[in-house]
Amino acid sequence: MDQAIPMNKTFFGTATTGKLGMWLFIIMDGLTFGAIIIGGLGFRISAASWPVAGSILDVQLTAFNTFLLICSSFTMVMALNSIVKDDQKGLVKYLALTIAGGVIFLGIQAWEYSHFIIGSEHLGKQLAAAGFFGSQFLPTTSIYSSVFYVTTMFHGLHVLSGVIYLSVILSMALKQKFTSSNYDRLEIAGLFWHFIDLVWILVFTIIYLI
Amino acid sequence: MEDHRKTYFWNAIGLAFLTIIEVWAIGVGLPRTGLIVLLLSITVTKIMLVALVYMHLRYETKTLRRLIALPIPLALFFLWGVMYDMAFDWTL
Repeated sequence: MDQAIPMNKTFFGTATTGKLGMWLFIIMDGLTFGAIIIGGLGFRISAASWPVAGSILDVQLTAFNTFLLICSSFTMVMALNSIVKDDQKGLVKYLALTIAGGVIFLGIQAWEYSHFIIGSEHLGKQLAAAGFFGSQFLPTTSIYSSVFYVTTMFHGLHVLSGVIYLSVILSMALKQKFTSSNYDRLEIAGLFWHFIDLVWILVFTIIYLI
Repeated sequence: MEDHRKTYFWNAIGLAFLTIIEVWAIGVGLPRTGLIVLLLSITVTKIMLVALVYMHLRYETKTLRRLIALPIPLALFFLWGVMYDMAFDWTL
């Protein structure tokens, strides 16, 4: 009696093993992010004081960065939509835009870090108002700065990984390795990129707004 | 796979709009608790929009969705553990 039914069809629909693998990775990575964010919240609750949102960190600039990641998620999903219709030019265009979004995001984050690490008189006044000493905002300045750097840097490394990953996918797209019936790798890369966007939404709220 | 361009576009507009509300909310002087509840509600909504629409979770099977939702109670359990630990000032 052979009543074996393909597992994919039974439990996971048309999801491929590669896609399931990426979902499992996302679950694991999500728990790692969760541990970092919850750990940061724990430090925050037990801290005597915590700076008010926007008193040190630039909320407007980071909101723009959030908007940028949202746009890059949109272009990523449009890249997938293009290949479904066998539109190779659209695929390359949207993938390139997604990578550009990631690179600009990283550039803004690097600028933000350099602004904090180099320091300035204005930053010193902001820090003094928040109860910190010095004119630089370094990982060693306080628990607040440590939580900020650890969380955003861990996310930033994910963006960097995503940019490298998507660059490989783009090089494959330029060689026309994807078709309307073969785009599994593109979809898997897209899942990772959307996960980066999803995590940033949470990081933005917890670190910058609350 | 169907063509969902309009859905993707309006989802991006919705996400951008919710981000604008978030930034606006911290500047209008809402009560602290109300602000936190509002911001967390918007954040959960944005996460759901990305997961369901861009990550195509709404088109996946129930089993896969349940598998993905499983870590959320685990993370909340971990949060509870951290809170419990704090009562002892991070020491055993």
